[in-house]
Amino acid sequence: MNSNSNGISRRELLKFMGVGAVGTALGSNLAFAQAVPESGTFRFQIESGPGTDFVAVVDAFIAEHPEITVEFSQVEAAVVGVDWQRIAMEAGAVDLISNENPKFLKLDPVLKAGLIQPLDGYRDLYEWDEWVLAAALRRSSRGGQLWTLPLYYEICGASYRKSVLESFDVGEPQSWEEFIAMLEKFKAAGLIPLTNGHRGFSQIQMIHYQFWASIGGLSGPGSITDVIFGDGKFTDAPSVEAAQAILDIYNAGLLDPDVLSITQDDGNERFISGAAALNVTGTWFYSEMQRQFDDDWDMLTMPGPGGGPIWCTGETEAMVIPAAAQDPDAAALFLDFCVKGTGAKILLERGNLLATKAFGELAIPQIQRLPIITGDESSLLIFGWLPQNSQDAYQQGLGGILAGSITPAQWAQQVQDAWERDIEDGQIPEDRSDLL
Amino acid sequence: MSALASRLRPRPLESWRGASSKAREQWRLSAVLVAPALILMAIFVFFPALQTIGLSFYKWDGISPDMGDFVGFKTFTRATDNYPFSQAIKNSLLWGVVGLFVPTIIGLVAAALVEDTNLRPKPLFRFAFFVPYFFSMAVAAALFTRVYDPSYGMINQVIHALGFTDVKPQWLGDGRIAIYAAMGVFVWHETAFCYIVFTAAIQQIDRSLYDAAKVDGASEVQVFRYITIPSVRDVATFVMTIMLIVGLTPFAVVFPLTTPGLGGPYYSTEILPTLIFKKARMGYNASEAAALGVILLILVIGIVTAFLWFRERTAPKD
Repeated sequence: MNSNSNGISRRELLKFMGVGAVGTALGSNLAFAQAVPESGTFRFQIESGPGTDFVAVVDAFIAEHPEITVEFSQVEAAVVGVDWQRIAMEAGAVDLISNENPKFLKLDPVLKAGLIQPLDGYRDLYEWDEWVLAAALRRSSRGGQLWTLPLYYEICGASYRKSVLESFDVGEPQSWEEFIAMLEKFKAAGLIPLTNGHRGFSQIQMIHYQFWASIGGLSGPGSITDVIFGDGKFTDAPSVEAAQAILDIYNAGLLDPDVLSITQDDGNERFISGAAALNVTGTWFYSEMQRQFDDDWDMLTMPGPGGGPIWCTGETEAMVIPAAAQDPDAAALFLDFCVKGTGAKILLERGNLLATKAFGELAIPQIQRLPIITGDESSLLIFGWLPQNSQDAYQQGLGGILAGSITPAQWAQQVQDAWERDIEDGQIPEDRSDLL
Repeated sequence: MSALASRLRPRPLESWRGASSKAREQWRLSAVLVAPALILMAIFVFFPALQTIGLSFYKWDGISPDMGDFVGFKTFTRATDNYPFSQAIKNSLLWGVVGLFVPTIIGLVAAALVEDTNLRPKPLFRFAFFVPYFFSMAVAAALFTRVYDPSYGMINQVIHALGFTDVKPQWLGDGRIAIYAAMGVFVWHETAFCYIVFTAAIQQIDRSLYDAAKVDGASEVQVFRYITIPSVRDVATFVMTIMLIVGLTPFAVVFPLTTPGLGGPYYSTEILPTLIFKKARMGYNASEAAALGVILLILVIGIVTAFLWFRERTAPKD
């Protein structure tokens, strides 16, 4: 196949780069120069949720850059769907838009469609390589160009109250045995040992990531990385064993018996009320925990059978500048504000784990210990790397395992089949090695 | 032939050339009155429907500027050759059957109970039966996520209060019962619609028929069987048709109630509209979504046509 290193054909790549360039030229009144703007209008749309952070960021940006007019709106992307993105980008209605994450589910489709423009000029202009983490830039690049800029990292784990662990005289588990012993202590005390919500967005998958990373290791055969970027399969032993481990703790009454019926919000309520000792969630829940418990909280990553604790991380809140943006320079200025300006400071202070090195010393202690800040290696957070077919099979199947509808081996085969189908449909590049 | 069918049967158009000026004037007026609705229907229904049918034969992701390659029926094969689709078809048909009969029958019986018996106070019962319709279907479903909560929900609290402390159904988490839990919300909501329509129909029945039946010694069941049901037959056909269509496409219930993604646990509540939503809105498979839309369209038109044909065939002869 005539393809570049990430599996998109050269013809396709040239086509969408051409569309991007033409769109940029038309959209910015033939102004190719990528410069720090002296004035302009910046229209920014973000999906609601973490958007509340951005209200403060936008306010600070307006205060610091009175020369730029800002039009800011939040949209519930989960409801309006991909059409919203397409229409907003195609019509040149926005200069900057959140595209969730730089992965196969979100970035590659808009890139193939020629809806976004490369950010390399701004990358050089604002020296983002010095500030943004190399892995985040690498994952956001296709065909040697940077197409999106992730502002956050997200890490999943099991949140806990420090005082609760102290009262049970347990620390963060370093092995499967310690983890099970800890859950059994909670259960014996009448607590829900580990709560989790499958209805809504299947946070069971977060348990699976963690167990899989623990069993399969950071890289090499059997690891998550090997499946997403290499030749590994979902049917490889560590993936199946991780699914079996979830079933085991569920059958042993160590996982919330209501897991299939409740949502993540319900799980959060159970944790905050003290009914549950551990809650499967992630860094996106940090600001809420800080608000609820002051400093009496933290998050651990759960070891799987035979493995140690390994964090799963992923880039998120990835911003794209549409090809038809009217004022890409102003959009890039805002991005830089979030990379190394006051915007980064605000996001960090609110408990977010940023993809930049700026203000790292200001991060709360619970953030300071995480791999992005410490520099330790971590495994992949899978969400976003699976296109819709694979994601549906993955999520539905994990519930099916707990419901007794299928076995872990059958689940793994179904996910693998859907994954191969997504590759066949061109939703996943055949060669993904340069994203490693 | 039933009165409704008779009214619905198209009448032959009078020849324009031979028509009187008054008839022509009426025709013009009709055309002017119908045109706005037809234009809107063409823009928002017929044209998108045709576009969807066309799209189902191409491979398009939903965001690329061009439509992609023409692939014929391959999109249909891809969209249907999997477990979620077979589950969705099975569930959609089950929903159709439930939609056709359950709210209709409950609504009719409730309306007859309130209107044809000495049940008092009637306004209170009318209000109570119609209350569910004050909520939109989606809001009703969102409310029931709380009602169905296994630990804190009203139903399990009642079961617990009755002494069944070990019984804790996972209404939305157990694949064997989740679809029936969702149907419960649908029936609760749609019965209200059926009730109010049947109430209006029953109030139109000539009361002397009831008086005559009572003089003849008919029981209330006999009055219901031989007077009420035949008198509301045409209205029942209308209500059942609407319920059949709504029942085959209950997205507003399934969307808030079930998951993950939609249609869970493990596809147990999957229906064609949820599959379409996932393909089109949560992923980039616009063509497969269009193919599923075409299948749903054929399914709904086919089943509704068959139902109306059956009703026509079984209508009492005048």
